[in-house]
Parts: sequence; C-alpha cells; structure tokens
Amino acid sequence: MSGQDFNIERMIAVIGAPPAAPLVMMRQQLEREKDTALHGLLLRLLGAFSPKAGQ
Amino acid sequence: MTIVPPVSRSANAARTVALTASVLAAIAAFSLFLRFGAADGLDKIDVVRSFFMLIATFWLGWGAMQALLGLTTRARAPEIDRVQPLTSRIVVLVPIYEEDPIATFSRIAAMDMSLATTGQGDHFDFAILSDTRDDFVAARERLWYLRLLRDRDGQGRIFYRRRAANTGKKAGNVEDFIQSSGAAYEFAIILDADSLIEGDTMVEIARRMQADPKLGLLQTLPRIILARSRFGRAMQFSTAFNSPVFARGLAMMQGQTGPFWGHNAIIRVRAFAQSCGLPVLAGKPPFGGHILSHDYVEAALLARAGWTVRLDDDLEGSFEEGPENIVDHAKRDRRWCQGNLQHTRLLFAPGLRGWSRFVFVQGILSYLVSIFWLGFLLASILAPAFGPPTVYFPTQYWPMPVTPPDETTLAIGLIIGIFGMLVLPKLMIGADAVLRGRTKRFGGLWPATVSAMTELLLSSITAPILMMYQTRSVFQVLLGRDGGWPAHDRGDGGLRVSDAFAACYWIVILGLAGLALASVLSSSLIPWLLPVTLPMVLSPFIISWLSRPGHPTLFLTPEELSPAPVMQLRAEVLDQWQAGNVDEQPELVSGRLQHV
Repeated sequence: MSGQDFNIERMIAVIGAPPAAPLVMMRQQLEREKDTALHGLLLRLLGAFSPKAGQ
Repeated sequence: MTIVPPVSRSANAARTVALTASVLAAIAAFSLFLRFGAADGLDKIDVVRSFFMLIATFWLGWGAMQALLGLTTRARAPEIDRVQPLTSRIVVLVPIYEEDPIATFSRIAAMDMSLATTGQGDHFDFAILSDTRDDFVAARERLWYLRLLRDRDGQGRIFYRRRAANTGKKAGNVEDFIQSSGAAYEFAIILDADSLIEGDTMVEIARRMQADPKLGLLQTLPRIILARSRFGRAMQFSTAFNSPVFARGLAMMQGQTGPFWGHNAIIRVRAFAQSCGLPVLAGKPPFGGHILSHDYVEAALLARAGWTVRLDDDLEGSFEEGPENIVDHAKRDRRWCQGNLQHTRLLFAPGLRGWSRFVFVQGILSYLVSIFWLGFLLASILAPAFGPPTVYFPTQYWPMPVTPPDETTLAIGLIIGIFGMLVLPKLMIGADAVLRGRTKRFGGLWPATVSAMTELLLSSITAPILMMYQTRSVFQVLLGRDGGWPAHDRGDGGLRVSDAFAACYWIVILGLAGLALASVLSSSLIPWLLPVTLPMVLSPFIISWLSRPGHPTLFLTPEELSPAPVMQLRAEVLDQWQAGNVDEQPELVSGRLQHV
C-alpha cells in the first residue's frame, strides 16, 4: 500500500468515524453448566433436540 | 425490563388452532400409512417410514395452517400519532462484507434522498460497518464512500468504519458499533448490504417504536426486487404473491414473541444492548463458537427480557435482493442450516419463552424435514426387501389362495392429502387474490394466474433438488464441518450446464442410484418416484435453465409494474455512478489506484 493510499485510509478513518458514545452490551447466559456434550454423527442426529447436541 | 407480558388470547387461539390441526394431520397420516404398510404384515420398516411420514406431514400441515390463518384476517397499521415530528435519533446500520461498494452505497444514497423528502431526514444517520478483509475491495469502499459523502453532503451523518478483525461476523459487527456509538441513538435500523427501504417506511417504523415504549424490535416484511433470472423472478413473484399471506399467519401467532430476520428491522438500541450480548458457545464450529443465526436468538433474548418483538406485515416499502440461481440459494441455505442446527444448543437456554423455543424447533425442523422425506423415500424403496414374504396359503385347511388386503385406496387417499397440503395453500392464496382483486397488482387476472401456476410447477420441480442440497447441508453440519462465511455472489447468476453439473453431479448420481435400486427391489414404485428422481437426474439442465434471464412478462410483481420511489432513486444514482465519467469518478476508476 502506497503512502497516498495510507493517507486516504487515515483520512477516511477520521471523517467516517461514528460518534463516540459507548454503550455496554450485557453478555447473556444461554448454556447450563450441567449440559453434556454429544460426539459423533449418530449421537448428534439422535440428540438433535438435546442441549450441546453437537459439541 | 423483566416483567414478561402474557400472550394475547387471539395469538394463543391462533397458535392452538395451527398446532392442533398440524398434529392431527400428522397423526392421521401416520396411522393411515401404518395401515397401508401393514397390509402385507407389520414390520419394523413400516413403523420407521410411518414415523418419517408423521414428522414430514406435521411440517407440511404447519406451513399450510400458517397460510390458511393468514387468509382469515388483513394486516392493519396501528393507530399512532403521525403528525408530530420525530423526537428520536435513529441510525441506519449497513453491515458489509466483500460487497460491491457501487451497488451498496448507491442504495444508501437513494435511501438518504428518500428520507430527505419526508422532512424527517435530520433524525437519521447512516453507518456503513465494513467487515471486508480484501484490501482491494476495502480501497474501493473508501473511495466510493468519498463519492457518497460528496453527492449527499453527508459528512457528519454518513459514517464509515472498517473493523480490524471481523470477530462474530455480522452480529459482532453490529455489537461493535453499539459498544462504541450506541448511546448516541434511541433506535437503529439494521439492514443487509442489499436492503433498500423507503424513507416514509423508515419514518413510520421509528414512529411506531416511539409510540410503544415496550417495543424492542419491529420487523418489516421485505420484498425481493430486481431479480433477472427465471429462478430469481419466480422467487421474487412468490415473495410478493404468497409471502404476505404466510406472514399474516405468522403475525397472528406471534404475540409479543415475533420474528427477527436479521435485517430490514428497527431495534431499540438500549433494549438490544441490555438483552442481546451473545455469548460465544463452548466448543468449535459448527455447533460451538459464535452464534451464526443470531437474529432468532436476539429475538428470543429480547422477549426473555420482557420486550415486545413484532412483525408488522402491513408495512410496505421494504426491499431486498435474492439469489439468482439454485446454487447460490443452496450456498446461503448452507449457512442458515448451520445456524439453525446450532440452535439445538440453545433450546433449553434458561428463561426463554415457550414460543421462542418452539421457533428454534421450527428452524431446526425446517432443515431436518428434508432428511425425513428422503428417509421415507429410501425406506419405501427398501421396504419389499425387509418385509415378510407374502403367504398365499396360510392354512392347509383352505384350498384357495388368500391375497393380502388391497389398501391401494388408502394409499391414494394419503397421497392426495399430502399433495393437498403442498399445493392447497398456494391455490387458496391464488383464489383469494382473484376474489379480492389483488391480481391487478400482478398484471391482471390472466398474467397473475399464469405466473402463480408456473411458480407452483417450478417449485415442485426444484423441490427434490433443494431437498438434496438441504440434506447434504444437514449431514455436513452433523459431521462437524463448518461452512465458514462465504461472500455473497451478487452477479447475474448465469450458469452453464457444465458449471451446474459441477455443483450437482452428486444429485444426478443419487437420482440414478435411487431409480436403479427401485427397479431391483420394487419396480412398481418407479412411477411414484419419478416426480422426485427425474428432477434429480436432470438437475444440471434444470439449474442452468433456471439461471438464465427470465421472460419480462412472466412473474410480474407490483414493484416491476410501478417501481417504488426509492427504487427509482437508486436506479438514477446507480446509472450516474456507472456512467463512467472519469471526472466524476473516484481515482480508482480512472486507474490511478489499481495497485492497492
């Protein structure tokens, strides 16, 4: 990348920057600790409706 | 918000009717087929294929009931104040990944122009969120961004940023924006790179969000536009003609737990930030890692937190573009398949509302059902090999041969029932369109009828091919293969027969194998199998033929007969930008930056 292009990239980063207004995204809990993993094609197919079916 | 509102009585009633009817249809098909299979003696394979029939019929019945419910009511706009000016700040998010910037940014210019005509444009900003990895494409994005800024005088309200790493793909891209800039806006309209929304529609959905403080997400029903190929035009027609009815049925059942399809929707930014921070699932893709079909999960999480998620199917002016051929459709479907099957990990996530879990089940079933259909066909071919031999003289005391009871009538009745569930919804939608005069918007009674019948025929021919692609996708995911994040191919989509053959030769082989197996084991089945196996054997020709330009008078849609204003604006901008005037073009087009 040439110096000219690098300058364009920096320029765009400045003029294109969205407003700085941070907001925290709260991480959600979706899995249960007691969930068990299933390995292999058949078990995954049989356990398609089980938690952690395909891990 | 954590107080979860109760589901309305009307939504509960619609859900109960649809579920009960689907379950009853499935049980009826199961018992009829079991009787038919048991005519020569009940064996294990009869039970297996009856079970496959049970699941597949439930799924068919569910789709049919959605359409039938959708025909019973009409979408209505909520009564809200449309006089007062907007008081909120809204950002329109355009996540992009290896897209053609001319095509994408011209849509942004058109939407900005459309918003300006509403008099409410000052309340809206645009943010282009680039996840592009290719430096050449990124260089083009920057240059065309400058052109967009210049043409729309957009500095300070049309933003562009490129992430250093595309962690979490599209969901991570939006999350990154909310974390850095989300507090500046009350609402965010989330688009795809090919989305196009009328300015009036954007103002209307913002007003609806303002009017209902419990509304966390409002989804519009996007129509497919600008399709050129036969396949693309058939899909475009179907989304304009059939989808509003299916969407009406869905809307009747949604309660506060409506759908989110990832784009052409507006979110309440703070609700989204509080509720939708997606975890990275333990383990590797395809089941572990980042959540791929994040939209379903985000809708479920908003509902879990007590926010309303709603599809307003009365809204017009929301558009997107679709794949032009079956191969591109199958590539996109592969990604959706992986995402939906990954939801098996989330079915028992704590606190989710029952309907959200059922929506996950629907998404999973929509892919697994292909396996059930295929399993049913295979089991039917193999059944004679597993069944007990027919005994014509069961007892020495009776000199005459005893033939098994003839259950052909039963089988024919079952086939008519299944076929009815497949085609009846579309036939009823067609009849409804004629009775209510909706066909005028599709070119009149005769053109609309021809288009609807042709679409029905084409969807029947392509169904076995799509079933095979879906089945492969399911097996690939179950075998642990990650499909990755392929860039969209938004070209004209034309495929030569050789290209199509390279993409579907395995379907041809399986089709021939199915016919060969049937001719050995149960030759009487061959006529019944031909509607499935013939399209499979001919799939390269079908795929190639459907990828070619469609006839402009077939599959006419309202948007073709009378393009929406934002579509006209977009076409004007695109024409200007593609005109090739070097003085007007960024440096890249004049060739000075092609070494980037």
